[in-house]
Amino acid sequence: MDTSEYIALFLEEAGEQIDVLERDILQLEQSPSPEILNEIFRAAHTLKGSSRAMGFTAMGELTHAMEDVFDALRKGEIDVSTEMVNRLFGALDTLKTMRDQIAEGGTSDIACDELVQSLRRILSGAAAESLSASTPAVPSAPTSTTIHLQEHERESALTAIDSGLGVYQFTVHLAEDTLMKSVRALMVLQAIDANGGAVLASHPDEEALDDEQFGDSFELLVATDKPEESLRAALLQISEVRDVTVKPWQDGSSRQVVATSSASAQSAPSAGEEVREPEPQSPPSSAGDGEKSATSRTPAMSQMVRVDVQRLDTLLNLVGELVIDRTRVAQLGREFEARFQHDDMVDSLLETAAHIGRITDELQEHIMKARMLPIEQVFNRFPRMVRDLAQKFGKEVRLVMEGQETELDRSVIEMISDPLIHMLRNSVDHGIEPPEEREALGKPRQGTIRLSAQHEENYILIEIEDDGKGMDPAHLREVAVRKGILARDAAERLSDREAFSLIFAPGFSTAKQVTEVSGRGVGMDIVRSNIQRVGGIVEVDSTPGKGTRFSIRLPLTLAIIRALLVRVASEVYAIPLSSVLETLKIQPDAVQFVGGHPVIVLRGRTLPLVNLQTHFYGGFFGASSCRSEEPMFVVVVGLGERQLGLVVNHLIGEQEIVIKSLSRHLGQIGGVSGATILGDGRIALILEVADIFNNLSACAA
Amino acid sequence: MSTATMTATAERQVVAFRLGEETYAIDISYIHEIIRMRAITFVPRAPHYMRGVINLRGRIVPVMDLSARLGLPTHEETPQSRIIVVEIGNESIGMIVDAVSEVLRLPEEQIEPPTQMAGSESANYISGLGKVNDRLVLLLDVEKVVENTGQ
Repeated sequence: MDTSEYIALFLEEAGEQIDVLERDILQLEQSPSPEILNEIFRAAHTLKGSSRAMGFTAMGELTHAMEDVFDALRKGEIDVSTEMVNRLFGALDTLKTMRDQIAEGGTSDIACDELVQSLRRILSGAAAESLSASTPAVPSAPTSTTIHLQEHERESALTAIDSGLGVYQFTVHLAEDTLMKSVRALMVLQAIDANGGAVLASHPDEEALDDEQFGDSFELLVATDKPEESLRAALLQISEVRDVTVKPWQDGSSRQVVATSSASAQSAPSAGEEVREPEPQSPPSSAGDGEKSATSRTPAMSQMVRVDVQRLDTLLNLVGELVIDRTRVAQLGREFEARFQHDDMVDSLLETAAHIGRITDELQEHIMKARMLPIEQVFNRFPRMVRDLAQKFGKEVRLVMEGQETELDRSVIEMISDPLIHMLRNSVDHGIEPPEEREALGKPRQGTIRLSAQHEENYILIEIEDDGKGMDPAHLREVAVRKGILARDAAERLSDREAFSLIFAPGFSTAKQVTEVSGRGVGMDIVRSNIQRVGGIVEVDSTPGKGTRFSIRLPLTLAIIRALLVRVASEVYAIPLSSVLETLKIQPDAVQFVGGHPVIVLRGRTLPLVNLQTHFYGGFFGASSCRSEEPMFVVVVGLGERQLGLVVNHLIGEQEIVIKSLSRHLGQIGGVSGATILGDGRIALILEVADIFNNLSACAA
Repeated sequence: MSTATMTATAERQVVAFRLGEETYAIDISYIHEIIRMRAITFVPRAPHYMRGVINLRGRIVPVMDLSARLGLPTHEETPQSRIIVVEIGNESIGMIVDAVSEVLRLPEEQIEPPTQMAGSESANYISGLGKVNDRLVLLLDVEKVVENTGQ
């Protein structure tokens, strides 16, 4: 049997199970509860089953050993210990490596006998028979749905008949040697959905189907307005579906469904739970849990669709085109109006243009939402990481996470992970003091790192805050001077906040000893440039003795942004609004020159100026350029603590723009990050503000 | 012997165009479309032979001055000037030429290797020399022209 077509699915599912294990093992260490134990056991069990089915025996063996430990824990035969958690994490890391190897086309064959033995040793104190009892073969007896669900299903079947739909009972027979039966079951459910049918009930229930808790066949109650034969034909198209029998659902047949399920419900008191857990002492609450998860999971199964990320990217690109055309149509409408006044045709064009505009906005919003993922995807790995780091450095650290549900575009999610890892490492390594030192200072032994995410206008604000030793601005100035990053007088002029930002300077590291994890001073520099590359901003604030807080502001998406359009020479440039602080109209005589560099004084602060025309097109912006009487337009942009004024010829206005990349044939264009198409079809280049700041520092140095 | 198939396989279809006084040609399979001159958005700090970018139905396509790229003297735009948009891989790139003359069928046996032109800068980008009615046609190696731009 060729299993290659299942590999992708297996890998994805294995990834999910591994994530669940990681999260739950950590929770286990902190506060073990029956719910966690059940969940963790189920994850290990599923992973064991699927890896064995795919022929990855080493992986199956290792998960089997883990499963045994969880089972013993669940039965109260052993207690959680740090050593046990370390071994479980060790096993989990090996599982990840195996998964990665399989993903690269290899096998799961990593020597893991030692790991398996170390896990078995945990169990050596536990009763021998409980071990063997804990791992029965995957049962063939289907689990039943709860009586509550049956009533609910019956009601919906009756409602369907009342509203004129046909209700049929489908019996789907799979080929005997079907691998990953759950996949076929899922495909059957999707095929019914795609062909105009609605699954009202299944026997066994969808969770059991998902867990492969069934034999070679299962039954579905389906409502549809289509001929049942067309549905049957669609199902027979699915490979490994051997046969499908259909009969109309009537009172009699419904009773039969109800009868079977209630009969097995009686024989197995813990209805929603897996049958493979004969736990006489199982409290009623665990049955309730099973029921809860069954009801919450069923709709999730049938209403979610996995979509290839590339498809979403394509959709977003297409919407980008539409956004441009929408702007174009609206502009044409205005031009026609100006030319033909109130002609009927013009009015109806304007009306249509407005409607297209609204629809496009909505379409764009929904597609953006479809690309959103909760930041949880990144945060999830941090508790484990912080735990391991704390252990390594001999610190005691509590990681508090907030706002994991905050959603942002997947492209931003991908990029934010590494910077966050680095900053958390820094907090554990350099921020939080060792427990003894903290006690001496009158702080709790355990330090706290708070990681939070929240929406703020058009941004996501991510904060990392620790209650450690904080940073000393005087010390930072000192180091900056010593390392030749700043001249002494320049360093003295920095405000405390500006001094904190020195940690982002290239080659700056204040750690007295270079540690294995935080490494050398390359880190924060790269953190900042990574964040800036996606249009984000990172700031740092600190109070000596009290702690440090990093704030990261990220755009919700990288594809469509709001920008300020300005004119430079005869071209239009777009400045991302995320960088714009304010716009000014100044008289030329307000410009002063300091060492040949133009500046203005804004609210008591010296603001360096960059003339975009001379920056991009050459020429000289000197005192003679400022002799005209014409007022000048200045866009004040900020990058962290730094600000500068961009001199432009005209301000045009704000607009939503779709970011398009420039062809590589144009080379690396300093100061330009991409281009966009405006409503009139013209192209505007998008300014890369960070580049211009860097250029300015290079000139000043 | 079938002469019909012989000629079908031994012939190259090219689009001929002028750069100054010379006639060049590009294999027709590269050509995406030929458009009139239009406003080109200047891109600062790009290579000198890149004139900027144009909006081709929502796509942003870079445009090069082919004469400048080949090291030939450049000319003022005329009403006959055109942008030939070629497609290589998944990328489009526009090339400004002085005029597009015609589609030619060049018999393979009339195409000579470019050895006799060795020495001139543009020779690097010529894949062959064709003769049509005693007129010399320089076959452009489009991939080479586009290769290494932007570096």
